[in-house]
Amino acid sequence: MNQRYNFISRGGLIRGAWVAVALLLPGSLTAQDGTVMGSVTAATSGQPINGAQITIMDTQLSGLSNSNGRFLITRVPAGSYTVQVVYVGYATATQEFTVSPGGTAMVEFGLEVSAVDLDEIIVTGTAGAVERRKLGVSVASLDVGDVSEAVPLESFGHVLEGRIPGVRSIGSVGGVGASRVLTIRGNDSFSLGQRPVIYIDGIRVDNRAQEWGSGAGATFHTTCCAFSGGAGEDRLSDLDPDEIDRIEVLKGPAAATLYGSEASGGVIQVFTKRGRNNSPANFTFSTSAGLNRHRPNFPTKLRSNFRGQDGTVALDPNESLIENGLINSYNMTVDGGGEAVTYFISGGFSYEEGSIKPNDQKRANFRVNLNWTAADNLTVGVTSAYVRNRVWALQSGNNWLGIYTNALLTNPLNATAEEPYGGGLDVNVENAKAIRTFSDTDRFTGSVNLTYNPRPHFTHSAKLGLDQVSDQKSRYMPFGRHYTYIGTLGEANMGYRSVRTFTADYIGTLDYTLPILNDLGGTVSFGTQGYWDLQDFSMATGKDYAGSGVTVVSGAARTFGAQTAFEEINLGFFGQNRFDIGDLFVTTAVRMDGNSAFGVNYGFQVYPKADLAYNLSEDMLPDLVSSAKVRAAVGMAGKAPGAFDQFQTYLPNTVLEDVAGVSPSNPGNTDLEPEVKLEYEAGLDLGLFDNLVGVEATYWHATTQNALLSISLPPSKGFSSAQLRNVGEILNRGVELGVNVNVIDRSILRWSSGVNYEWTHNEILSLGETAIQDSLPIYEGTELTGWTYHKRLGGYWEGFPISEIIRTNIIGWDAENRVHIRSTYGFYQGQGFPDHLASWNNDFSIGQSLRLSVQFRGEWGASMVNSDRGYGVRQLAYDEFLMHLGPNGEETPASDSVLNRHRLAYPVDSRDHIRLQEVSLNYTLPESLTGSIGLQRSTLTLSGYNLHWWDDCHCPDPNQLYQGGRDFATSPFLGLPQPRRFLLSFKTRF
Amino acid sequence: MKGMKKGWMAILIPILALAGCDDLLTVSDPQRYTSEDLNSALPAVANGVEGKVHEVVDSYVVYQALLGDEYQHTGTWSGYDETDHGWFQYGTSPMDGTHSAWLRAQWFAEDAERRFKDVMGEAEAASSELTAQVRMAGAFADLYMGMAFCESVDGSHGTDQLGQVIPDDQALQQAVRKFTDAMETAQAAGRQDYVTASRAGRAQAHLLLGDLAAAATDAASISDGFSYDAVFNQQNTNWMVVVTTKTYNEAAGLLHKWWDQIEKSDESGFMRDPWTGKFDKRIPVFFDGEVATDNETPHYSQWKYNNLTDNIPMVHSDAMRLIEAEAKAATGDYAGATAILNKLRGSVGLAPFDPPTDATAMRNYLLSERFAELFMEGQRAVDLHRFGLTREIFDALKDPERPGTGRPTKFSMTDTEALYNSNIDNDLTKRCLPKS
Repeated sequence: MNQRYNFISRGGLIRGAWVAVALLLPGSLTAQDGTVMGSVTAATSGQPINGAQITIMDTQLSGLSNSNGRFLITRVPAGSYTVQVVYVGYATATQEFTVSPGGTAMVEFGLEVSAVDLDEIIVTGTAGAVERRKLGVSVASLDVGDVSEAVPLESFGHVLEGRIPGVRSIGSVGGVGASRVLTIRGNDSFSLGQRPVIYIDGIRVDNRAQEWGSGAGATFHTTCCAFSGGAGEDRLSDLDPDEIDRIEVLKGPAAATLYGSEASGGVIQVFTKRGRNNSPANFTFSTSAGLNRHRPNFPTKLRSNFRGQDGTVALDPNESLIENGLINSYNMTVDGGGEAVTYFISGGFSYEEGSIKPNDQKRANFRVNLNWTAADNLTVGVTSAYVRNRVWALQSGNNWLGIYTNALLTNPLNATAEEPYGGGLDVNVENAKAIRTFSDTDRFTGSVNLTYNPRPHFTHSAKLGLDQVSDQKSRYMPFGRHYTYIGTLGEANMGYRSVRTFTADYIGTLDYTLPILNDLGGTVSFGTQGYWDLQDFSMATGKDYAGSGVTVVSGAARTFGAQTAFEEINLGFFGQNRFDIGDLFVTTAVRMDGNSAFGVNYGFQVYPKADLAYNLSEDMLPDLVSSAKVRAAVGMAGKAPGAFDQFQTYLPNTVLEDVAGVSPSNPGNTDLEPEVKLEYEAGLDLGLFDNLVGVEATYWHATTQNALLSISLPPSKGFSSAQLRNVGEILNRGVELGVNVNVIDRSILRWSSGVNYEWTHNEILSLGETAIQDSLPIYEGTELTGWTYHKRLGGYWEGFPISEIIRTNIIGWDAENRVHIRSTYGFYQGQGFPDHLASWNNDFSIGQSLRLSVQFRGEWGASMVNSDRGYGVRQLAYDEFLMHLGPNGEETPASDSVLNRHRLAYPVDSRDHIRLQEVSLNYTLPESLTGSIGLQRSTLTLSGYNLHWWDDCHCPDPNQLYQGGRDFATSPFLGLPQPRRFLLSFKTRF
Repeated sequence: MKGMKKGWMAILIPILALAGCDDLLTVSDPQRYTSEDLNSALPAVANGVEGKVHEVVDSYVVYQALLGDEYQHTGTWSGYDETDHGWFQYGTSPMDGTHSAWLRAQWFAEDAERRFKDVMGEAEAASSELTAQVRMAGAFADLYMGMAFCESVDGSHGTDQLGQVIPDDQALQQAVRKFTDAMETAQAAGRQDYVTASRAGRAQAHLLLGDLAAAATDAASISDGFSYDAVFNQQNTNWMVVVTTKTYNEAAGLLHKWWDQIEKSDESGFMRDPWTGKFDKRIPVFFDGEVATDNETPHYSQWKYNNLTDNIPMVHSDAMRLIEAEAKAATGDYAGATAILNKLRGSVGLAPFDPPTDATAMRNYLLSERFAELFMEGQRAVDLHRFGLTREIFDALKDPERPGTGRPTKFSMTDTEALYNSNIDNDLTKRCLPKS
């Protein structure tokens, strides 16, 4: 134990430097103060608990346990106190102690496991810190540090995968660094993004997930382009999971009202790690090595049965395209602190290759978080993080230049020695591989946070922050190689995207009691929150090079440029009051927002909310129920229109013999309002069997009102863009269920199991008065029986989900002409978004050294327009067609029939599947081994991710999309599936 | 309490200051013009109108070639496949975008004219070359809509009113009126080039309306060597080159009926004249034996447009000569008509036609020369429609995938207009879609 405080006995110069920093931090003790020290362990296993929150009640004093479970709180005025320990997964514990002047009190805690934690502190959307028992809404909290003990976390999206009911985080594109889908509680908007707003330590950050090349004012074929085919890079992949302490998720307006006009799709707040007061330097080092490798299930396995005219056997991409993609990462952190200052410093580097190359990601992170207790009533926090994230993006997706595309969409009968895959979409696979496509990002995120308590129960907290992203993209297609739309003279594209988001925040919180009302207590909060979002895009393209050797844009014969800028300002004010009436907690709040994107004829938007939580006392509960909370909430939040949607504008363009022209572009709408989402939710949090079983159940019902829809104007009205109008009403409702069970809790074996389930119903209730009564019926099912007429507008139909799939279908066979018959009318063939999602997480601890984690995940109810399958057949490329050819590749009636069927209509296939998402085996090395070389708790982890899936989708992966960040795209369209990942990781502390 | 009051004031003062700052939430779009901005950019408005008409002529030509018997689908796009096989229905026409673009151009032309009157004053605007330019452009939009679509929308409505649906012949009559207005204004403005282009456009409109005498009169006044083209530039490239030539994407190629008149070569060449077997220099083509993007079909590429900035003739003097020939043929003057055709053939070194023996022979000469002279100008499908030859031509292919019966001969009105124009019955089954 003494070793823990021996700062300089082991370790090298680096560690010495960190310790020197720690020792320089200020602090002071008075002779009247004492010290509390102790440890926190798990009662059953005796394992130390790292990161438990220790609070001396009715004081401002608190601390965190370190990796050995130890804690130290100094400057405790002499006296008797109650100390409370809170840690996720364990029951909150308290003890009394007395500290004498200059003395030290020892307190030891052995925490009992608990699947219910109503004492957990939540700070997001609550206008100040508040215990979970007082919340009338469902707020999810995820202890990332705890998860990472069992599973090596490679990305932010991975952190959220299958762990929170209502949150859908899936990998939909397989290239390294590519975007992911991240949505909460279904689809709530026609026109605006579904991705929740992301805050890091209170700072609004860039959460872009979609390709931006063609959004830079470019015109097709002149400037640029979706650089990598639409997969895009995910700015959330800039985050290093090792920096994350915990995540809080507000799932909808009932919880997120105080975030106003940006929050109807939910809010995710990331809290990065902090140092501990009175703690020497704690170092962690982790490293991983492994590989990505695609599952060899591309629909081209018959390819090698065929030869081209020169005798070349066609290549099967399953065998020739899939490679091992290496993974390597290193992370080091140090945290600690003195009396007044704490610090957390981390640095990391990761390198990851895709399984189809070229594709890799190099990321370097550096973060410094400091907290300074400047006075008893004033603390100053500073966070700063820098990221360099460089992705060699994979050419994939709906993309003529795609590697996967051109390897798969090939006719094996066209294989030649030069083009052994068979030619593809007129781009040789080797030529596609020769394209160099980079996204190179520098990002700084920083904040200053002041907390001031002029009175013991009155707190002011102010925050200023900046998230700055400088993203440079480039793509170079070499001279002398043929590319569709480009020719053979080469092309270079450059793009710059600069995003600056400034956040300013103030919250005042006053705890009060009202003696005239029987000491009724509560908390009143008020404040303001604003952000200023500036985005600049610029693009340049060079076409036609004289030869090889020059790759810069300016070296081309023809050069083009484009620039686009966006600016959005939001300013909101809010007030909130919470009454604490015994076990009943009633909160009411209102937020008022102004936003630069609202139409000039529209003023401020008001968002009210109310929630209540009631914690049933033990005498009201049956024996098997150990705790119960009922809760209900109603709240509103919004989404602002696009920055300049309100303006009527004309687009400058180049016409005739290169002269300036203009053309009508956006019709504008000066009456634009934010979308407003009204959400009700009610739920029950139960602890059963001494809290060994925790149940959290929520029913929610949300309607998006004034939904913004882009409505085409009649072309004879001149403007080319659709007009954004507040017309629609969208219903989302659902059930979320989380059940956590501590099945076995013995020192030899502990097994905790958790099931997350959600059901979501999405329906367009109204498309407004502008909606058109459809003149064509829509058939339900696949038979020509049962049709209905619906109103439609802007590509949507009332009564159907947003992601409906309504298409013509094959309805018969014309035997005379030997062709299929296609319907004239549309069939409703499902929706693109799953209505049932479930995950099953299991965590086994065997003895003191082994830990096994297994996660299964499933989705049901989603379908896709399987354009990938249709194209594969139409290009005479996929097994579904090849299997019907004669032995020498000659066409047969069966192959003709399949081809004809797919030319007339794309098939619609189910995305239902169950996936073995991750398996992780964690081994804690013996202390006798690690201690001898100066290391503390050290673990080796072998893990597999995205290991296998069971489906009936006629596709490589039912989660496949051609654009990574698309929220409810219905087509996979040659999006690359996610690879499997295998990792060996080592993590140690010293 | 004193300290508490100061704290409250510290909070309230910044909030009130922010709330009182009117401009705090004001932003502007730096990349677009407002309507007011355009009042000081009138030439750009006029150029924008004309450019708007030109920018989709390339798309029009591709779809017309697929609808007629010039092109077949050889790529991956279902829109091309649907047009090639005549599978499309009302509400699913792949030409919707093109029709929409011309309807927008029609509105923009009228809006521009109103703007010119407001800014210049009525008198000055009436003799302004800018007014002439937008009137001519608007008339060409009507002409093309009348050629390709069986219904359109009248363009005589005000800014805030929606137009009424009109059949193709009314669209062409509207074009005649607008060309006439444009000619008068251009004359007053001293822009002879606009006068000539408008007259040629009016000749084409008269031809399609069946008023061959008026068409011939206009056509006769157009001197040899004249051409008014859809102009493409580095920013707005000729899509036809991009999507149908070997250098770029081979999404469409010449229909198989023409293949035996084209020789395989590593360099571009010409299609053979069916009458003489000689190469016809009016029909540049390219076939090197490679399959197209569909992985199956040999790609026979047109080579009339092979640079991204190649312009597409909209009206020109040779087309006027063909109108004159057709007018003569219609009056029974086969000799006069054949003389005109032979002059055109002679200019490219082809032997003259023998004197036609009957109306069918005359028609075949005329159609053959129109195919060659107007190759890839979007006129072939128009000819098949107006001569009622679609069924005959496609039946002769003996191609089960392209039967002659039931094939659309024109495109239906853009779905977007039909659905969102409240003056039009949005029952799509009532939309016009003529079939063979």
